[in-house]
Amino acid sequence: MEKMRQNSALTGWLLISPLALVLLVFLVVPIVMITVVSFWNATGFSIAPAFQFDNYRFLFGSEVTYRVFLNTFKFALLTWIFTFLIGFTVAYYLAFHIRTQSKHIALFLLCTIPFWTSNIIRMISWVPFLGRNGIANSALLSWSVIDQPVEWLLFSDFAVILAFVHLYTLFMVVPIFNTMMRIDKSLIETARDGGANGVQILWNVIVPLTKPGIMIGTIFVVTLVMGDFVTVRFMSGSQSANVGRLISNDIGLLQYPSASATAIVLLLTVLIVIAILLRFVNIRKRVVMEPRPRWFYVLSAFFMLFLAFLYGPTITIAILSFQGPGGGLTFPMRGVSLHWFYELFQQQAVGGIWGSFRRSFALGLMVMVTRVVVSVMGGLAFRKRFPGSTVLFYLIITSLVIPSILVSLGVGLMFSQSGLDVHWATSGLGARLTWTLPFGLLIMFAVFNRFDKSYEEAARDLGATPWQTIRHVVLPIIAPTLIGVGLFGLTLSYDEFARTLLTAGSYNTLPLEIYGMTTNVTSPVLYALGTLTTVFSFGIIAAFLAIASYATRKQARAGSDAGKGSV
Amino acid sequence: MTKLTRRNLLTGATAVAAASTLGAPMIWAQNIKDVKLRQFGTGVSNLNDVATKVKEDLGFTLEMTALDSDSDSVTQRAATQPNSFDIADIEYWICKKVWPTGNLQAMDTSKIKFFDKISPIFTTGKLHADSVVAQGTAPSTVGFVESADGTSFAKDVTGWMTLIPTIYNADTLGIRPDLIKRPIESWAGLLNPEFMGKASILDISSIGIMDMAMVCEAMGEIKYADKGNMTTDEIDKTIGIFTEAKKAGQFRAFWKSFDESVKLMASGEVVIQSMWSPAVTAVKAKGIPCVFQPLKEGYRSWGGGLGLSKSLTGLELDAAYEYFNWYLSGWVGSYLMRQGYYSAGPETSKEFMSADEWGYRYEGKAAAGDILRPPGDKPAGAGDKRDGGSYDDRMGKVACWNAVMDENQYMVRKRNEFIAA
Repeated sequence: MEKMRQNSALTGWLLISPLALVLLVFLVVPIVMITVVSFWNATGFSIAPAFQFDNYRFLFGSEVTYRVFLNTFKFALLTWIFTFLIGFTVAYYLAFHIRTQSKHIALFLLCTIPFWTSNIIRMISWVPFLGRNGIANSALLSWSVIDQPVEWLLFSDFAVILAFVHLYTLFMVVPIFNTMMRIDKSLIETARDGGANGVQILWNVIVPLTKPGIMIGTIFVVTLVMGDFVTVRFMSGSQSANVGRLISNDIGLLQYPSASATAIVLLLTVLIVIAILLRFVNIRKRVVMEPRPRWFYVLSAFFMLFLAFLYGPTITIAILSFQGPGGGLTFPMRGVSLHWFYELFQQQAVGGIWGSFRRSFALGLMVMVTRVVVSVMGGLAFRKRFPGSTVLFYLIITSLVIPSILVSLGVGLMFSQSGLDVHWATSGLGARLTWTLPFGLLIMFAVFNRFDKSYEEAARDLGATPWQTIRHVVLPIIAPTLIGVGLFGLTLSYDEFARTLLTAGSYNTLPLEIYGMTTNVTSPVLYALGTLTTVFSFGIIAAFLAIASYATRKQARAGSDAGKGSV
Repeated sequence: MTKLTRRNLLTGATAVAAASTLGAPMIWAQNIKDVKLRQFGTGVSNLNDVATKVKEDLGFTLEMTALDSDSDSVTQRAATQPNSFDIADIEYWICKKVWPTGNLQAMDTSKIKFFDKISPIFTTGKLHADSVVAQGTAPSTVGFVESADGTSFAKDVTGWMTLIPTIYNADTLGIRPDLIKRPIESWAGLLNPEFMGKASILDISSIGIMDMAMVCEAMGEIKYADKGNMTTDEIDKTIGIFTEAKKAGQFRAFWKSFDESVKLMASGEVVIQSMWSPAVTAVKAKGIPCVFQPLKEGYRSWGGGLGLSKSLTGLELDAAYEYFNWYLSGWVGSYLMRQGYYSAGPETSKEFMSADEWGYRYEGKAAAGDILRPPGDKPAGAGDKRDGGSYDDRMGKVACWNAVMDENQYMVRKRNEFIAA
């Protein structure tokens, strides 16, 4: 018995070691690095070891710090309210009104497609939509809702929140959806039998049972917003500040110690917020419920609206990519042509789209493969008990919630201080893994939670070795989810900006290159790229779905030999 | 080298002319083809056409990586990732920050073939013998060091250069004359309440602060001892004036990238803002009226150059010198002039431009025919004159350069307050 436990601990460690290694090198060491540097001195151009509190003294002594932190909280709170309302409704629809797993996956993938188009291109496309002469204002004017263009649609806090909600609602949907799927149907039936109406069931049964998911979603959204520095700059027209911008300004001015001090304070703030949030989490219970047809249509409509919102920029981009040769990045259209698609394959004035695309895609694939393998291993490891699992679990959570710019800063510092050269395939890959791996692992937790252990027991009883059980029983069953995990990883990584900023080295990834290209005359070529990306991602997803459904069918055929006699 | 082919703009003939102007290259080793130089910079001058032409004319490969125009990330790259590049395409004020890190090596001017053709703006700093060096980080103040491993900048011209000057211009406010409907003569116009909610300014600290200073001085609010090196008190006052304007809603947005400035202007979100010359051209190319407005207080100028990575040696180093010599030999200069910038070696560039182009771009004369810009836009036609006139008129009226001040860190913190206000 003792030996078995030891054995299981050993297997657990072995399985978890790749993940632990990545987190150690690309999370723990960088955080230590940042902490150390936050006590250093800086000149205008270099940093020198020291142990002094000037950086912190200035930070806490400046009124700006408090104002900026307050502003950051404001963005986080407002974004949270909207992402929660929308996310909960969408998750509810998906969990209770859509039955099959393949439909779930298909709808989720549909939601992720807009995220394939580079975020920078999407942010550029908000201008023709929200601007003074944009679509929104034109529409409102023509309907006589307003008689003067509304100014606050763009370059305002409104625009910032809108972009955040657009970016992060999905992070709310997924965890809420996951917990809702685990709700035991009988609880809801009991409530109905007890005379509860729909609202009461929702409020007294579903919401409480969904709390863990809501909390996870909240943590994602809050930390993502608190760590942002690009969206706020773009959408506020540089007129609003948040903590991320303070840090990135300092980095640009080579004030690493001061940036580090701010980063540490930000990290602590985020962790405190999360600790407070976690106090509200209740213990989970299991349940499922009857769909209600009347609601189905209302919720379907809501979901369609959500999709429309997600696809808004994508559609704007698609339309504008067919600009005539004389047209620009904003409306009006000056003719219709395929000119910009042709131009996309010519040499640009500045920047190389295809070279950076290849790097981004290669990096995305590396992340995808690593993510699937390491997440499955990690998921399996956490099903066993092994010493140190609690510490590791908290490390994984930290890795998820750490503001992106800290990873970038920390990994960059670690490489430069140890004399190593940053490169997209080493430091860049590592920095991205700190975000995509824990994410994948959380999904695996959810998957294994729902996994029926009797399949494995059956396999074991039939004499399968542990490896055979995994290879022939576990993997085929979780395969569709793995495809989702992989694709999601590719999506998350392909457009990753903040973590790559200081870790890419000599050559740019696509988002960095596009950002660089905006320093010269930019043209609808960027939109053409966006449109092609969307078409391309539809293609990939269709291909994956086809493979998945083929695999399921094959599996179904193979499994349906019951009653045909023994082989 | 025949005069006739030289005039043939944008044709293969220029390549022939270029090759003959250069004479026999210094290194023709077969392995030059394998040399690969990595250059980074902002999209302003990191042009793919230059890399293509280098391959054609010199045989080796130049890999261009464009960074965002938040010049900060260029500084960051040059200062902290010395092994990630061979050639740094940076601005002179960035040089002031990066040189002390020791990541760049000084260049031997005796190996620079066209050294004496470089505009005096970059050497003595004086366009004419009686000119005064403008305030701020003028290129001449950080262009030379005392020796091959000098760490501090030399006051005069020496045999060791920090950057090979490449591109520069005199910047001013861009306006939409169709929406403003009256002449703008002073930098003070930027804060005129008439343009409430329709003004914009650059969000790059070392550049934005100089624009602010031009405005405050023009308004008569502040009299600076030296705009390019403000005291903390002057910084407080300058930022204070702009903070008030921001709170009152004067600004529609701030811009950081070239592209943002074009969009703001073209969409009519903004009618007056600090701007770059090709951005004005880009707005005009859409058929929207836009003027690069000369102002009575003069221009805020900037200049860029190429720096050599410390780690570059041997054949690569030779190739880099070859590239610099080629850069100053005229083709690139003419290319940059057509974009609306100036060439560091105006004389050599003249060889690669038509008389009409030279007249329009450099001498401030009315164009006789269409003025073209690669890849083929037509920013001006017959009878048009360049905003601000001739090279002498424009570069002669530079009031200040983009600057890194002694109180830079203080200024940056005050700017953070301004953004957060």
